[in-house]
This record gives sequence, structure tokens and C-alpha cells, in this order.
Amino acid sequence: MSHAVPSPAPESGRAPEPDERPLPGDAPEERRRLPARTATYWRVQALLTGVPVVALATLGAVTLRWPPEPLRWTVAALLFLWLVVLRGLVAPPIRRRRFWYCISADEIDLQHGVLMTTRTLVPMNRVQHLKTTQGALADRFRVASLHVHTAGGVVALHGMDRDEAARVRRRIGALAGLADDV
Amino acid sequence: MGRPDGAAAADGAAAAHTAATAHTSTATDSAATALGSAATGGAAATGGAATAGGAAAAGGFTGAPAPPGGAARSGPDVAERRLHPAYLVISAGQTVRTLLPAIVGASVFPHRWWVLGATAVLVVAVSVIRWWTHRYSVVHGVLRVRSGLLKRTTESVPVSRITALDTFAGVVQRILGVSGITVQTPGDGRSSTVKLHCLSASALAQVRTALTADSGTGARIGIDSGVDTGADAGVDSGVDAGVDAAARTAGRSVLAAPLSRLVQGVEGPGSVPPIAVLEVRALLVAAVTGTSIPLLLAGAAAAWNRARDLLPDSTLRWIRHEVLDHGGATTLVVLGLVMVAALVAVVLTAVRLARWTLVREPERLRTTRGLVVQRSSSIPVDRVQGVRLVEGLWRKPLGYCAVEVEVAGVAGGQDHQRTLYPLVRRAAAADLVRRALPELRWSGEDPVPVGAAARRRYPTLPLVAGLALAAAAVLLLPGWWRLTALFPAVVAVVAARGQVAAAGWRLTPDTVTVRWHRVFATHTVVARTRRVQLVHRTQTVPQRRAAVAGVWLVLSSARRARLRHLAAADADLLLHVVGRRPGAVRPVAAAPAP
Repeated sequence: MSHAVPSPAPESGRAPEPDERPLPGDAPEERRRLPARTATYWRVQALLTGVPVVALATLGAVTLRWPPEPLRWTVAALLFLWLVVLRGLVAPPIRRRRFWYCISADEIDLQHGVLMTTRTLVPMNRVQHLKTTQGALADRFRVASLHVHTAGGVVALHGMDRDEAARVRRRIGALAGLADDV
Repeated sequence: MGRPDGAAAADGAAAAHTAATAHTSTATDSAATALGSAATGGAAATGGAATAGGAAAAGGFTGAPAPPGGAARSGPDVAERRLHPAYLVISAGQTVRTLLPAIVGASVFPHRWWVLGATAVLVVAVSVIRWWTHRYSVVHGVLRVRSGLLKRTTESVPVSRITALDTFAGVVQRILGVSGITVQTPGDGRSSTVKLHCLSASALAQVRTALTADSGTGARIGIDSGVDTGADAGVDSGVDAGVDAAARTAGRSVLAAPLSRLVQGVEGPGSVPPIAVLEVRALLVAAVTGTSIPLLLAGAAAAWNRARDLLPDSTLRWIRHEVLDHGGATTLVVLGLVMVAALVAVVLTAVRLARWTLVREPERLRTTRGLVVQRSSSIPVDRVQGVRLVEGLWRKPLGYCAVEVEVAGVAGGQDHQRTLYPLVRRAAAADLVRRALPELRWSGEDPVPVGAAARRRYPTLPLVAGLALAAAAVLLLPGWWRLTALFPAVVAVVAARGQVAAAGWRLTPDTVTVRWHRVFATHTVVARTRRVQLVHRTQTVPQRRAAVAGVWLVLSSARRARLRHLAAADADLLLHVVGRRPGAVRPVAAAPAP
């Protein structure tokens, strides 16, 4: 085990019991985070889709006859707030700050989310297969997404450093060769 | 048993190949030799296991295929063979059904008889080719199904991977004395299902014996179910053989048979006494309370689509005109039609659930049911990840619930496969589960409600959603339609009350129990603590301030157990214990104080 001292999770009001084995991510210094350029990548990605959509909505607000004018402009304003301000400018750094992952020999422990943070535990022997995806934009930023498939669904690690993703995939692939119990 | 050396290698490969999906289909476009295509298709699917199977099966392929329903073999293998010739009829029926709109359309043309004649020839040709190219075998613990003439498909399913067997016999199949079998493996629904449509009674018994004799292979390792997997294969096949003769009589004499014989099922319960049989009174309650509005709407939509394909346009226009453009009497007619539809739905549900019988065999759970289409499901106990008690909208006030099993690969839209028993008193459900699945070691104790701080937060979401919908209805709808805004508001209040009352959990070393209420139904999931696939712990900023968090357990059936709010410390406890390897599980006998 890479971490010896069990320490309480910062959000939790309760320390793990002495005989309860701590999770890999319980030790804050063990947590791996995303590179700083990931936030920029997310920003560019969100704006690339958000700006055209908002432009279209504004065009519609100016030219359309129905629905009534206040409703048209409300929709356009809400789209601007949601797609450009929140998704494009505010959320990416928060999303990057909230995200961490930690891989031990037995488990993958990770946390993600902006409004609702979700911490997920994937026991290593549940891993069915792994997938890395990388678009043209991600390629420019040297980031990739790693998808961990289990019988119960997919867990995604978005915006990882490309080489790190390849390393992690190899590591999980090597560790996951255990018995299944589906 | 005298298996060749390849068998051991095949089993080992199947066991070791954990990261692969259980079955794949591979197409080879060229008309390769049988051995070549088997080797390429099989190797991709299951590694060494299928290759060994393919090499052995090639001999059977070059020789004359065994006649369907041939003499029973002593070993668990089934040599490669075709389906029962009755598949010709059923395959033709399926083709005609898909082509029906085209046929109806073609019959308007002047040369309709030529067109219809050509279509008939085509249908017959397609059926014959389908039957001729469709072959199956069970060799060295691998079920292989090969089909297709130009696009050849090979599906390989290691027997050790099978999560459920489902046999069925529709009206046509019963008249012809055959039945079909569905093989379920872990994976996402349709692509993880292999179907053999037509098997004679003896072939069915043989295939089932071959597919259920997984005990001796030692392919399952690292399981913690507490079941002795090394025993009882003989008992299982003995039951199958005994059932064989009965099934044949039931199938063949279907037209002359009295009702009692008809409802006997494709395979009767055999010598093992059933755990529960659905009585007529319970059947009626189940049918009336189990007919959901979605089912009703789906039935109506399907009927309307069929009608659109079949009815001439003028009739459709007349119906639309009558129904949509008039008030008064037409409304009454529509109401009457809805009542008739409801009645039909209840009758259909009753026919589907009739004679529901639950049998516990040494290593399997078997259910048989159905009056017209007879179905039988068989699930290895070892594959059961947990049970789910569903108390629906009408059943909860009456004190009834349905019992479902959580099995990998049996997820959405397959109610009949995952239902263990359709209606039981909630108070008696624990006893039923204990008798059917003693391995689950469920104490039957109710979950302990979440703390007050967490309980207070449950009404927010349904009330906000309901009020938003109601507000939208008031703003957007004209005139009296605004009264429909009452509907989401009432539903929201009812759902909020239900969610507050239901939220609870309990953790023991063997099982984790989560009870929660969705919109209409209360679900209680009792899962094997160590077999939960994924655990999510969710928290929003307001939840963090109140030291509350959510927990979300995902089972290998891809179905969830979700508690939106509970004390953050409890959520952490669940995250640290549920789904982890045995070493990580600390006995937590007592649930948290309410």
C-alpha cells in the first residue's frame, strides 16, 4: 500500500475506523490532479460550441415573430449565461480544482463534478475494459480522456495529460487481470 | 467424463479471460472454410477457449449434422446441428411480419399477383437459407451459434459466463411442438443475448443440460457466495431428463390437451417442490395493480401504428375527424375505448403472469409462467447480485410488492426475466427471499431511516420540479387546459411524502439494504455487500454545509440503488465498505441510530 497513515477525508465529519482500510484517495498527498492547460482546453471546447449557439439564439431573437419578444430575449440571455459565462468561463477552473484521482493496486478512487461533486470507487477487479479518446482539439492541448468500463457503467477521467493517460491505462490494464464476479 | 485435454485448456482460458466481454459476433465476408472462419471468429471472441471448441466442432460440421431431436448423448457436449425444421415456419412468419407494410402497399399495384408471388418465393428462400445456415453446438463448455450466408456470424458464449437461461414457447411454437431458448450473458441488453428459436423437446433438454452443467469446470474463481459450486450437476440434469418426456407430451398434444395440461409450462417444476405458485386471487390482484399506465399507452401506440399500416387512408381520416373534431359523444366513445384498453391490458398481464411458479433447484432459480406464451427462466444462484422489492403505486397501500433479482445483462425492459415473483405480501417477502436465496443471508430487517437532517432535504427536489411543471402549464396552456397544472403539483406532494418516509439503509457484513422512493414506487434493494460494482458518493455545496451526502450503488445489472441524502459520515462508511474486497470489510453489525 502506497499510503501508510489513514487520514480523514477533508469533507467528512468522521475519520475511518482503525480497522477499516482507508481508500486510496483518503490521503490528500496521494491525489493526482489535472495539468493546468486542461482548464484552458475545456474553456476553448465550451466556447467553440457555445458561441455559435448563442449567436444563433440572438439572431432568432432579432428575426423571429414567435414566441413573444420578452421570451425570445430571455432564452437568448439564459443561453448566453449558461453556455458562455458558466460553461465557458467560470466552470472549467472549478472543475479542474475539484477533480482528483488515485490508483492503488486494488482500487481506483476519483472525484469529479462542479455543482455536485461525486466521489467514485472502482474496485480493480470490476474493470471490464479501458478506452482512451482524444479529439483534434484535445490533441493540440496534449490531453486525453480515459474511460473505465465496468459491468455497472462507465467512469470517465476527462482531460488527463496524454502521456499520463497512457501510463494509467497500462497500469490499470496490468492490475485489472483479476477474477471477476459478475 | 473422458474429456480431451483441450477441455481443461478451454476452461482455463475462459476463466482467465476476465476482461473480455462474454460474447462477440464476428463476420467474415469471404466464404472461408469452416475451420478457418471458426478459428478467426472464435479467437476474437473467447481466446483459446473458442479456438479449441472450433477445432473440435469442425469435424461435426464436415460430417452429416445430427438430426434435430436425436438421441441423448451421455456427455454434456452437443454436436453442431441445425434448429428444428419448424424454424422454417417461424422464420417465414417473422419475415412476413416485417414485410407486412410493403406487402399491403404492393397489393394496390396492377401487377399485384406477380409481386406477391415473387415475395412469397423470396420469403421461402430466405427461410430455407436461414434455417440451413443456422447451426449451434456446445463443445468444451462453449456455446457457438453460426449463422448467415454472405455475412457469416459466429457467436461464442462460454457456459461459465451465462447469467440466465430463458425458454419460451409461443402459440405457433406450441402447435409445432417446439420451444426456444434465450441465453443471457453480462453486457448491455440486446447484444448480449443469444437466441435459439426452435428446439424440439429432447434437443431443448440436451442443450439445457449442456448449458447448465457448469459446475465441474472450475471456471468461476474468487466467488464469495458461500455456495458449493462443485456439486449437484447430476441432480440438475436428472430433473431436466425427467421433465423431457412431460414437455414433449405437453408440446405435441397441445390442441387436444385439457386446460390443466396447457398451463403446465414448457418444463414443469419437475420433482423439486416449488417455493411459491401464484394463486388465482393473487393473479387477479397482480394483473390489476401491475398494469401500468405506460404499458397501456405503449399498447395503444403500438395498436395505432399497426392500424396506420393496415387501414386505408380514408378510414384513418374518418377516425381522426370523428375523434378530434367533435366534442360530447366522441369524448364518451374515447373514454369507453380507454376503459376497454385498460381491460385488455389487465387480461394480457394476467395471461402473462398466470401460473407463476418459483422453484429453487440446487444451484439455480427457475420460474415458469404464462398461459398462451409459456416462458421459463433459469438463473444460476451464484449470478444473483441481489434482490429488489418493488412496491408500486397501487400495491403499496394494499401491502403487496414484486420481487426482482439483480443479474448482469438483465436490465431495462426485461421485466419478465428479472421478476422472481410478481406479487407477494410485503410482510412475507423476506421469508420468500430467504427460502429462494438463502445464500443472500438477508436478515429481512427493515432499513433504518436516514437521520432527520437528511430527511428534511428530500421534499425539495420533487416539490421544485412539480411546481416548475405546474407553473409552465399555467403559463403556456390555454383555457381549461390550465387545470392540468394540478396534476404535477399533486404528484410532487405525493412523491415528496413517499421519499421522506422511505429513505433508509442498513449494512451487515453480507448484505447492504437501501430503500428509497422514486415518483410512484418504493424500491428496496438488498445486495451482496461485496458484489456491488460501483459506489458513488455525491455532495453539493449546501449538502456539505449540512454534513449530508448522497450515495449511489450500481450493480452489475447496471441498475442503481440511490439515496439522495444521508448523513455524510454514513455515506463515507458505505463508500469505505461496500463493494470492496473481503479484506476491506469490517463487520458492521449495527445500523446507525435513526
